Amino acid sequence: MSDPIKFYQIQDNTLKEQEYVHEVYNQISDHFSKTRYKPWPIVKNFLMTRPDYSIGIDVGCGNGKYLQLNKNIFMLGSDRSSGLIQCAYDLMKEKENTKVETLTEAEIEQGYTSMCFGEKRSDVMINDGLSLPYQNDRFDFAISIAVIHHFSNEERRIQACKHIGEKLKKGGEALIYCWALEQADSRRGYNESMQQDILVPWVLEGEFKNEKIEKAPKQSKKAIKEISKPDLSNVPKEQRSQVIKAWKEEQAHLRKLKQEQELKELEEKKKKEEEIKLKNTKYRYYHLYKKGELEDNIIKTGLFYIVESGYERDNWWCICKKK
Amino acid sequence: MKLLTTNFIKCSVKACDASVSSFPLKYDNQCEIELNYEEDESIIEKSYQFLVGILDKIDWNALLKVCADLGNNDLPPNKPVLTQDSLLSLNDNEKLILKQLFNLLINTEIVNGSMKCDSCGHVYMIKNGIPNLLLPPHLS
Repeated sequence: MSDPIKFYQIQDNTLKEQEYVHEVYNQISDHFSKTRYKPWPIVKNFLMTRPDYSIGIDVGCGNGKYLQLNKNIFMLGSDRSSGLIQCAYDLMKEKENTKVETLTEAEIEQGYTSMCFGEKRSDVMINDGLSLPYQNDRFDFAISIAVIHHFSNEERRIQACKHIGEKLKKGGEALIYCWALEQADSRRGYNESMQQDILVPWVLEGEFKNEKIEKAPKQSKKAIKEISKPDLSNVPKEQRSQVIKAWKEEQAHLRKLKQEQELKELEEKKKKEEEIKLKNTKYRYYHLYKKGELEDNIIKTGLFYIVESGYERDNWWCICKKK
Repeated sequence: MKLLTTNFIKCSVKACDASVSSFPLKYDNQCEIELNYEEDESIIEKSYQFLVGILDKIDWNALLKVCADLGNNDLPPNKPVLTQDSLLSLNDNEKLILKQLFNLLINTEIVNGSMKCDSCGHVYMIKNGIPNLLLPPHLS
């Protein structure tokens, strides 16, 4: 369970990432994957400008949305989350089995014909970004999009960049994206003055929501009924006013009980809804990057020089070349 | 997992980096293999271009070894020399090799099975087409 309080009690970085990154992605993978389909322009441009027949890796590929954009290159995608790799595998197969002739005009207009429809140009696997099972100095390029920010200290983030560099040939290029601390225009509103190491909630919704919660033992409910009128037929006339008074008092008492019961039920319902929301809220750990920090991490690997860097959609990005 | 992928992956264990026997991994001869023939002529043609294009980047000895692990010894001992130009005038032997390469590298998938590092002996599983290269905590 990704309990936001417990996070600060865990000292071991591997364990932190295990609980607040890997397990969370496995729990949210199906919902997360459904929200990740549009390629970011700079990533797309990077992939479309690779020389034909380049071989590349996508470290932390998630649902694999970048693996089949360019049919003239071969890409190996990997992720630490088996849930996300299952999504990536299914989506990959779907494209491989869709003939380009079946694309709609709208899809053709959006450039889908350059994508790997009907053609097998990628593969996926589960692995760890700090222990990539690839031969060193073998790849023409690499991308790692919104991944390095999940490593929980600077040493590990630099190590992750370095490990990507080790896999590249001399002159091979990598494109790396990390979430920015400076997000003036985003709904989350993070800014420079804020904490960089944060837990970001993901709320499972719709079909992905888990509505089952432990049922509290049922309390026997007494039906509280109001009687429309007291029966006065057998009451002597002189006592009738007293009976009516007593009856009115009883009715007032009953009404009060009923109101209390309704209020209690409403509170219980609210509590239950909150419990469901809590159960469907998963916290992921992020280190938000400050301006210049990503380039600094990359330089510290000693393997790269910076080709270009910038800011796009609340993220800092950097293209670097292996020395 | 496509057979092409086996040409790039090695053992995840850091200590095996220095060992030549950590690549390629040794594939179990009981692996369940699936071969899906492609019949679409235009896809075959484009795939041949692609294969000739990446031929430079294939480690031929590693490919021969993995094919042998899986019971296929059909490929020639030396990497063929093919260029995009030669695709226009292929001889029968070259045509056969390209067809074999296409079926092996692209259309053959290891669906279930395992692969082992010859250096440290660690075994990695492939389940429903997805290889898992994660290490248990004591090895990572």
